[in-house]
Amino acid sequence: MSELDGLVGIYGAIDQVARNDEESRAEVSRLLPLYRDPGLHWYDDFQTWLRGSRREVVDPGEPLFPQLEPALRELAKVDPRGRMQARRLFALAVAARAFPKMRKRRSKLGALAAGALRTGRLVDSEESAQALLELLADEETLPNLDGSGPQDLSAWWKHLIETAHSADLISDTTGLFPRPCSGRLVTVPGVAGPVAALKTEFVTEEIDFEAATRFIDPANWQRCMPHFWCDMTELGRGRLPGMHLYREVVSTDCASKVGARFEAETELEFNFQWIPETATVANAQAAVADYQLAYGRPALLDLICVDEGSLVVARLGPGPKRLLITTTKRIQFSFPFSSKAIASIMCALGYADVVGDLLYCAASNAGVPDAGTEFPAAPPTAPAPGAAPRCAGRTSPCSPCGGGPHIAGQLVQDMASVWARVLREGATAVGRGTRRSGTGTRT
Amino acid sequence: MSSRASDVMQGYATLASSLLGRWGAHASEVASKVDAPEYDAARAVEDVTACASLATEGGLLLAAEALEAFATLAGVACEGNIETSQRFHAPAGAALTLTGPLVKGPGLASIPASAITIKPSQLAPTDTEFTLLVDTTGRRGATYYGTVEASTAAGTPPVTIWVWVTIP
Repeated sequence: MSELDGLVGIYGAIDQVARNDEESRAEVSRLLPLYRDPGLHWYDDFQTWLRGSRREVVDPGEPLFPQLEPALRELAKVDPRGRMQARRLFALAVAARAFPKMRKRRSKLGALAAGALRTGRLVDSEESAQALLELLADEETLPNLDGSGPQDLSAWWKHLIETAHSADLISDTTGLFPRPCSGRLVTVPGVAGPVAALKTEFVTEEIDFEAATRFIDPANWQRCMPHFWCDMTELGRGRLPGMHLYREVVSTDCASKVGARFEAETELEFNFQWIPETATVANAQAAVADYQLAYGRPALLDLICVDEGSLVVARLGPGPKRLLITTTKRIQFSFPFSSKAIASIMCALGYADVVGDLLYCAASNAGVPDAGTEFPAAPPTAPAPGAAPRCAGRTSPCSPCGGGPHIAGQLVQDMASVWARVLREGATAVGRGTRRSGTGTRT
Repeated sequence: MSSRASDVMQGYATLASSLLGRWGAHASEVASKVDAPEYDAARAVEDVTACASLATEGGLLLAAEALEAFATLAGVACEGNIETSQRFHAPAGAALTLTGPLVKGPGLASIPASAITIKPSQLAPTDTEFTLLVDTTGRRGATYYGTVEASTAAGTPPVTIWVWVTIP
């Protein structure tokens, strides 16, 4: 079992208790507001979906991910690195709401949770682990059930981390911001069920503009976030000038291909852009990476049907160190999850937490010469005439992509332009007719 | 097995063959129903391209079929979503206008200026900040960028400001 399997198991246990107990659901919703929807329940479907996608036969009675107590025991054996520290702290803060016994120092769950905190990089003593667990479960600074209260969730997280740091419970806050699972859900109607779109914005003064842009190239993601991005290899140029094609493999257990409970593979096309277009790192106002599924995707058995979004590092003001980092991700899986269920799965996996990962990468490499890679924006070039998507050289069949949402989406835009023109011309005629008709009736 | 796209293209071929006849038949019907003095051609186009179904309101079946085809392809419902950009800065008191569409990149998708509102389009004498409000309906999740021209006193050359919005 991997560390990420343990976290998914904890979120799964939270989901199950929230499903069966209204009071627990209300408590959980204070940190995961999606649970204010009494219809939200994702874990059973998630496991059903993954069982169906696995090559080997899986006993439907056996949980794919560890249950709460085994998950906590396993986490106690793994020293969390980078953003995994923040994810573990947040998961335990939610679990402490879902399972009140976890807040009791002498309880079995309390001891297990403290054990999951007592690891090398987090805290090094049992006393500190207990104190940190009590802080995670603290009620005073948390927003009320209706979302009102002393402060919002971002402020709660900031207060929590700063208090833990000032009390020497946490020695290093690098990578602990922003709060995990803080993306804003935007529902986008999709092809076969809704698409979840998550947007995360975070203002930071921890790193400078150039350092941040050196970790935008996804080639860095695998190095910085090896717990989830198993592969992010550039395959070559994309179908249009300036586009880069990458193979993406994500998994809850990169070290064990056979044992991974969740693993998905696809190909993405990235477009990198300075704003203004002709700027360099010295005078750019923003660096943008946009991505979408590559042509030919989704292939027939792909688990990921929609995967597109942006990563933007923008200067806020004239100095180098006040930055707004924005990430968005639209995702749809090959199972008709609701958008809230997808968002919950993304939270458990950390799939949409690129802001946190990027910040950790940049901050932990601060001052290291040549850390990261140069932002790969190319000078703007117009696409070559007739530069149409092609499937040459691809191993996956092209037919599925012909009906998939992305090519369809491009076609929609083209059709929209055509029809807008037709309608504009036609409507002008109608407008003339209407005015004539109106004039006629009035006179 | 036919693909979703080919189904739609077949639909368009059929539609195209009867397009002129249908348009002619329904244009007069629309003209008789759309009698409000403020309802002009530009408003009709805006309505259609913004996913408002003129079919139900005005009997413009052409628009309905076009939109239905879009929905078949993209699975999109006609829901409006507004996304707000980060704050940008311009000279105090400037009048702000977009110089063109926001684009995803050279030759890639774009958002027409008609789907973008500058807020405020006229800065108060002491204000320097503005944002963009963008109708994201049917847009791809991406970052779109372009420029805004900020004009102040007569005789002063306008200032070009780079702007962008990230649509989730």
